[in-house]
Amino acid sequence: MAEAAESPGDPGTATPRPLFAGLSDISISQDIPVEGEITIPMRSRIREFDSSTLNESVQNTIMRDLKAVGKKFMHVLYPRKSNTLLRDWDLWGPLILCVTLALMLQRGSVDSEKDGGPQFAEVFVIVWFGAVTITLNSKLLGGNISFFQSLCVLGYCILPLTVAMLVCRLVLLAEPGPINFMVRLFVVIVMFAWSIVASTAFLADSQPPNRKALAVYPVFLFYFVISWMILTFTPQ
Amino acid sequence: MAAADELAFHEFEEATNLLAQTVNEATTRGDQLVPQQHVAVAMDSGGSYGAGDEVEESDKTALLQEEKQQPGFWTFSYYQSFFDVDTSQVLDRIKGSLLPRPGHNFVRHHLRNRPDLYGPFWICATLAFVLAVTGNLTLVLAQRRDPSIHYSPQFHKGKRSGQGLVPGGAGGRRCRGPGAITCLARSDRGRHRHLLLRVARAAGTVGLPAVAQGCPGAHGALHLPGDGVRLWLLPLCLHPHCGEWGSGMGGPPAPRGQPGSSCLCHPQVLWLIPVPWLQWLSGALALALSATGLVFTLWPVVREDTRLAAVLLLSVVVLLHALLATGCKVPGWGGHRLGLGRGGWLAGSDADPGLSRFSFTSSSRYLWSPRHLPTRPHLSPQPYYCHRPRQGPQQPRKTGARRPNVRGCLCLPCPPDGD
Repeated sequence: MAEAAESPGDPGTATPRPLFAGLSDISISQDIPVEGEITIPMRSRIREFDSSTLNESVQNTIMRDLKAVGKKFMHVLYPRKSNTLLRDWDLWGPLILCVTLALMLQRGSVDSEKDGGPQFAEVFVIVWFGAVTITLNSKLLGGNISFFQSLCVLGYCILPLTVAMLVCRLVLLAEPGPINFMVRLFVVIVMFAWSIVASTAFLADSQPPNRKALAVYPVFLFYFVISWMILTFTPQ
Repeated sequence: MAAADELAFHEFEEATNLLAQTVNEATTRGDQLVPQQHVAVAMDSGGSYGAGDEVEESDKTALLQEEKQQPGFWTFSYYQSFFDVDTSQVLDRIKGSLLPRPGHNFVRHHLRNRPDLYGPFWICATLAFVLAVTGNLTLVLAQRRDPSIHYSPQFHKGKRSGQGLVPGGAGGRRCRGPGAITCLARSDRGRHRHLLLRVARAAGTVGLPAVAQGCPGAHGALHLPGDGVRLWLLPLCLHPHCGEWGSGMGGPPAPRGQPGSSCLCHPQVLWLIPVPWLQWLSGALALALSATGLVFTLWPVVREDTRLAAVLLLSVVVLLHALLATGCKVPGWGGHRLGLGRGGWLAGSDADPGLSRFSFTSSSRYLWSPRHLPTRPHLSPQPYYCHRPRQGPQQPRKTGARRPNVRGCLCLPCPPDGD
C-alpha cells in the first residue's frame, strides 16, 4: 500500500479521493518531498481504521463483539438467505452456546456411575468434533465453504437447541408425568427442525447441486444426537 | 486456408469418432477441435506425429498419465476422490445393496469401479447412534412395564457402541469383522502389500486412520488388473451396507457398495418389541439377508480359487458378520438386555455381589420418576437382599418383612436374621 505510483506531486490538493486513498500517498520517494496536509473526504472513517483497537476501552471491545454475536443470533432465529454468518464468521457464539449447553447437560453427581448422562467434556467434544467432521465431509464432497465458516454456521445453529434445553429444564421443575414428557418432546422436535432449517439455509448453497442431500444428512445426524441428549436429560 | 477448412470438416467427423471411442479424452479434446494443429493430430492419430504436434501429443499423454496417477495421500484432493458421489448414485447403491440378486454383481453394476468412503463412514456412524438410541428406548419401554428398573440416559453405552463400530476401531468383536474380511480377501488374492495393515485393523487397534493408511495401497490397487483389486475397498464398502437390511425400515443412505453393517440398523427398531423370539428372528433375518448380499458380491471374485478355499473364505466372512450381528444383540454392547427376558442388567444380582454395586445408576431417575424416590442408594459391597420379585434363586425373606411402599427398587439390605 505504500508504493504509490501515481501520487503525490502535491499532497496538498484536496481532491475527493476514494477510500484509503490517503494511505497510497504514504510513499517515501527521494525526489518528491512529501509534506503538507492531506485532506481526504472520508477522513473520519480513515481515522477510525487508523487507530488500533488496542487503545479503546475493554468495554468497547466486548460490546462490539457481543453485538456481532447477537446480530448473528438474530440471523439464526429468523433464517433468511443472507451471507452475514458466512462473511463475518466468528467462533465466539458457538463457544458460548456450547459451553452453556454442556453446563446444562452435565450430570451433577460426582460418584462414578457408569451410565448416566454425559459429562461436560463429553458434550463439548461431541459438539466440536461433530462440527469438524461435518465440515470435513462437506469439503470432501466438493463444497466451496471454508473450514471456519462452516464451523461458525454449525455452532450458531445450535442456538435453538440451547433454547430447547432451557425450556426443558424449566418444564422439568414441574410435576413429572406423560404430559411433561410430551411438552418436552414437542419443544425439542420443533427446535430440532428449526436448527436443521437454519443451517441448511446457510450451508446448502455452498454445495454442488446434486450433492446437497449428502451434505445435509450428517448435519441432521449431528443435531439429532444433540436433541437426543437434551430429551433424555434427567435432573438429579 | 481452404485446405485446412476442408480438413476441418473431415477431421471433425473423424475426431468425433475418436471421441466416441476414447471416452477419457472426450472432455479434453472437445474444445480443441478448432485449432488446426489439433486437427492434424486427430487425423494422424494412428500413425506418425508431426514435429509441431509433439507438444499436443505430449500434453495428451501427460494428461492421461495424470489421470492414471492419483495425487499423493498427503494432498486433500486424494481424499476428495473417495467422496466423488452424487445423491442419486448413493441412493442407487443403497437400493442395490438392500436387495441382493444372485446373478447381479453389485460391484460391477453399482460400484462401477468407483468405490467411495462416504458410505462406510456415515453408515457406521448412523448404526452407532441407532444402537444407542434404541437401547435407550428399550430401557424406557421396559421401565414402563416393570417400574422397578431405574432409567438412565445410558450415554456411555452409546459411546462404547460407537467406538466398537468404527471399522478397525478400538477393541471388541465388531471391528474385527470388516478388518478380518479385508484381510482374508487380500490374502486370498496374494496381494501382500497391505496385508499387515489389514491384520492390524482386524486386531482392532487402528481406527479410521487405518483406512487412510490403506488408501495408498488401495488406490494403486484400484488400477491394477483383475477383480482382486477392488477387494480392498470392497469389504470396507460392502460391510456397512449389508447392515441396512433386515429391519423393515428405510435406513440411512448407504453409500455405494456396502452390504454390511447397515443391515443392522434396521433390526434395532424391531428389537424394541420386547418379545425375545421375535427379536432373535428379526436378527437372524437381517443376518441372513446381509450375509446373502455379501456372498453374492464376493462369489464371483473367489470362485476362481479352489472350491475349498472359496467356501472357507465365504464361510469365514459370514461368521464374522454373524459375530457383528450378535454383538449388536448381546447385552453390554448397546444391545437390548431387556429383550432377553430378564429384568435388565440394572437389577441387582446376588450371584455377583461385586456387580450389583454397579448395577445401579444411583442418582438418575427414570423418565417419569416419582419425587419420593431416594436419590442415592448406598454402595456398600455387601450383597443386597431385594424385596421385589426377581428371576433366579429367591432370596430368603424375613417373616413379616414388608415390601416398601414405593415404586422402584431400593434394595436396602435387610438386617440379618438374628444378628
